[in-house]
Amino acid sequence: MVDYVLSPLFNGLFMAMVVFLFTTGLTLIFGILRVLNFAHGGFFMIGAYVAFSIVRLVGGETSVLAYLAISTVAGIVVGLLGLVVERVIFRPLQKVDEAYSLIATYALLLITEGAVKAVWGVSFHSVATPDLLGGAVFAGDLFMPTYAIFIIAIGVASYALLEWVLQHTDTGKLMKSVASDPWMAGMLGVNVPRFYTFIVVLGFFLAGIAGGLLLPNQTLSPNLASTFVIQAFGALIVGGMGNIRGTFLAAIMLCVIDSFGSLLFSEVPGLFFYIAMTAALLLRPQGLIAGARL
Amino acid sequence: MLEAGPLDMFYGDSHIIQGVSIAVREGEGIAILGRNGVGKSTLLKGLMAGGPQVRGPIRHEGAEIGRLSNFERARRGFGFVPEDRRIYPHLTVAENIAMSGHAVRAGASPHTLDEIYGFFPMLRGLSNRLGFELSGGQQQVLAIARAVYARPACLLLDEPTEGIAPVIVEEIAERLIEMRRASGLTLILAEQNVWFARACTTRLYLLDSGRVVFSGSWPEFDAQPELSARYLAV
Ligand SMILES: Nc1ncnc2c1ncn2[C@@H]1O[C@H](COP(=O)(O)OP(=O)(O)O)[C@@H](O)[C@H]1O
Ligand SMILES: [Mg+2]
Repeated sequence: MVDYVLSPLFNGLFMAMVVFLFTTGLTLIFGILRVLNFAHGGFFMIGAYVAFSIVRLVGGETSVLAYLAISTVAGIVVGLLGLVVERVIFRPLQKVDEAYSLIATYALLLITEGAVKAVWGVSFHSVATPDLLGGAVFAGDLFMPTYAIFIIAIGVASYALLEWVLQHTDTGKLMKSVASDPWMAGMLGVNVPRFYTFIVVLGFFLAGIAGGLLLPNQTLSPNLASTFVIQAFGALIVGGMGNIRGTFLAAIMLCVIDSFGSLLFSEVPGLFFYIAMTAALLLRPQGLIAGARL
Repeated sequence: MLEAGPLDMFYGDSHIIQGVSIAVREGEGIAILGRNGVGKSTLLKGLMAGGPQVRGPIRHEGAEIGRLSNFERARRGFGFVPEDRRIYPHLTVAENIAMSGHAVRAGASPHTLDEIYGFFPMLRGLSNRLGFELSGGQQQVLAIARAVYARPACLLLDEPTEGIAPVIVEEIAERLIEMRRASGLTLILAEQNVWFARACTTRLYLLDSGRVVFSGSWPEFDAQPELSARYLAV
């Protein structure tokens, strides 16, 4: 029971929340600007490196609160980078064919990797989990690392917060409106370019804070940028292209299936992620939550 | 209040509007008449920075506004109701109306929802209905109400009568006439429905293939019945 049901379920949920935290910023920017940001992982990585540098600067063990604060600072730094990226790259892309945005953001990904190598070098680093999150909880025979429980809680809380903002606040309604018809929003007086800037900064902030939050789970190297790319695009696409709720559900579905699948077929890790993704797209090509943006 | 032209407007290589000049005084109502495909929508969208490439001057109260983006024009007091209405399906009637709050001019305040429901009583009972639940006629009235909410100085309406039941057409006409009288609203109306256009405006421009083929008052238009036969009848 524990080995074949609860444990893979728990691991799958943990991975799903890792993927969801990684993907929210990507989803938000794609949902509203229709720009598929290939460089998203690069900025997630920069968030992780910034958090790493702060941990080093502060030195030694960090409390949970400090870890959250450091992740937020990483988010703010990456958000400010987003401000520059929006002006220099995304804004001109609004006026040209979508194919250009793939090329431009892919180039940006290479730039982030180069920048990380130049600033932090190519060697591998890691950061200890904050003391309080370093342990584990046993529920019967089910082994649950405290850090994993924490990430699952953060993932669910982030989802709940984003969903609440989107459904119940004026800002959220405006986000959905601009996403579904930016042209009319402009005609009704909404400063759409400035709104796009705000969304890009928010999306980059989410990438950066995710980098900080997931840092204790990762080995830091310039390869980190591409670690979650497949899972992120999988969740984005299966979720219905730019939909927060869809991304959340798709991440859970794909990661839990993958987690059970790897029990059956441990030789090829991740195999069932692709199988689940393919099956989902064959059964529901429009994605889990189709039509609705965000 | 608005003097535009001669204007040329393009979609890619297609030269849609060719040397059109229009002017409208404060509080005046003008109609842009013409068959399907002559360029009425293109002209209105061009005035609102809403799609076509535009060449030529557009002056609003003496200032050139041709380089302003759509939201800046909206905030100068231009309320636009496009041909496809573009009601937000996920927003309620009340939320759709409030969206144009972004277009309120500096130092001004929007109408209250209650005032809007006073002008358009059929919307009052629908206040919490979502956009996608409305009929075509209800959507059209809502689109106009939404534009009016921001207290625009000038309303640009693109064929508000198309596909709408006659009773609602009459009601819209009454509202527009009343608003022009009460608040000095300026109106630029693209239409094919001559009865409605005549009821709401004092002058007209007749378009054919992107050019003005007649401009003048309604009596002047009536004095040349061949215009209607040649450029409007199907
Ligand atoms: N987005 C567009 N791209 C290319 N051509 C367009 C576009 N919109 C309209 N046209 C063309 O411009 C011409 C005028 O259309 P339109 O302004 O919609 O006319 P009207 O509103 O008088 O019916 C038509 O020939 C139409 O095919
Ligand atoms: Mg038209």
